[in-house]
Amino acid sequence: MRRADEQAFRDFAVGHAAALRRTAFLFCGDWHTAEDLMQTSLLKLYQAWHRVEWRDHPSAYARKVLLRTWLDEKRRPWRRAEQRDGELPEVADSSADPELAGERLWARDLVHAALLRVPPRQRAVLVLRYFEDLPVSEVAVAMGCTEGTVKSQTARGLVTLRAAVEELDRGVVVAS
Amino acid sequence: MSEAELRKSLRAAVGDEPPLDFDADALIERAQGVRAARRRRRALVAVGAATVVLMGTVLSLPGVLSARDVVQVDALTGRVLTTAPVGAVPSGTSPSSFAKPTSSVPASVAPPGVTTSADPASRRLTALSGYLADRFAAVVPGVWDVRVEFADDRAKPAAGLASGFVHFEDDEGSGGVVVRLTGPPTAFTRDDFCAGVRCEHQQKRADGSVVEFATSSSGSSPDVVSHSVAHFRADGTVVQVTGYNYDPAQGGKTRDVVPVTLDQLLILATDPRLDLR
Repeated sequence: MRRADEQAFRDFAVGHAAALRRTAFLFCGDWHTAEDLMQTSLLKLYQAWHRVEWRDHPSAYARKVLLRTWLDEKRRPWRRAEQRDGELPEVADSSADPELAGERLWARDLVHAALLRVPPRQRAVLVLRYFEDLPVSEVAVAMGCTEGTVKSQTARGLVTLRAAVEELDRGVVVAS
Repeated sequence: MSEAELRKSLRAAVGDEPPLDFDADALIERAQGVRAARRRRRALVAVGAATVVLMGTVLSLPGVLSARDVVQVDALTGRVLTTAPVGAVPSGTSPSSFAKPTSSVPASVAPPGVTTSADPASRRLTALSGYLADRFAAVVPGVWDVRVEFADDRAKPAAGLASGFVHFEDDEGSGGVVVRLTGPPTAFTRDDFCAGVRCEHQQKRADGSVVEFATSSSGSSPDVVSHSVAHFRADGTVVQVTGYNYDPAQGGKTRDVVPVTLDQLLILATDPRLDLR
């Protein structure tokens, strides 16, 4: 790779690493996995950096690579998530401050927990549309599907998310 | 939950983001290592593929080349498998004793000593081919372009059997002689030799061996004649040499007499160096 291209990639990576990690976190729900996904995506991006057609939109390409990397990871058998449906022991959290654990914090965790119950592709659509604030056309490019599919996946994802939020909310209320 | 609330919650979900320890230079270094490893892997695969192709070519080429232009003589029946029948075939010729043209495709005789495998039996036959070519030219004067080929086209080569074909040119054209060597464990008796041909007489030799002389004639016009001499040696091996008044490999015109005389056939059949071992 030429020196100028390498410098351009370096600037891009430094400028977008944090944003990519945040998106990856919303995909997978774990900061360590998000960091791995971000690093792997940037590695792949480096291999493809010489492609001229993506130089004008490296962010869109990086999002696409990140999404594919995450979906590929999820498809691998050894990456399948552990089924955590057992009873968790009730242990006091010494770091939790009742003052800080207000309603906003509670709602935030609730939505994030519910998001992880949404199927992967619907979850990706929700993150790209409502976190990245991308228009439907760009989400379609990142997902590799039509705009109609993006809209239908968005609608289904919202229904699933709301159902998951209600279910979790009921569980919390009953537990308390 | 409205879309605005969802946006707000998603932004809040990443609020407790841990500090990012990102080193772009380390990432680029790692990417270059991955690229170099990929290049090495591709080179390795290319070298492996080229080696396989080369080995395939080397192994298959001799088989392809040796399959062409070779007179193939059946070890048991003595049939020349790649000859052109122009003259008639002797009616009294036994399949076990004489060569018969079976194909309409003219065939040429490969140079003596051409073999493709390197096992001891093949090496022995190669040596025999060279010796027989020299010996034949010495015993039968007035011939040139003498070529000898020992070949066995059987699917499963039999032990103790070898058939060779001597091609030569003389003043009247081309001719051929079939030489057949038999030894244990393959049995070849005098009754086998005389089956279907006219055994003229036999000659007992001082070393205990026996020589049989046989003649075959078609009785038609032109008369197709073959003379055969078999030396039944004391050690159980048999050397049978057969001459024809036509070229068994290429056909051609029928001669008045067999170009190789009985005495010359006898010298060849009793040659102690013509041996399977």
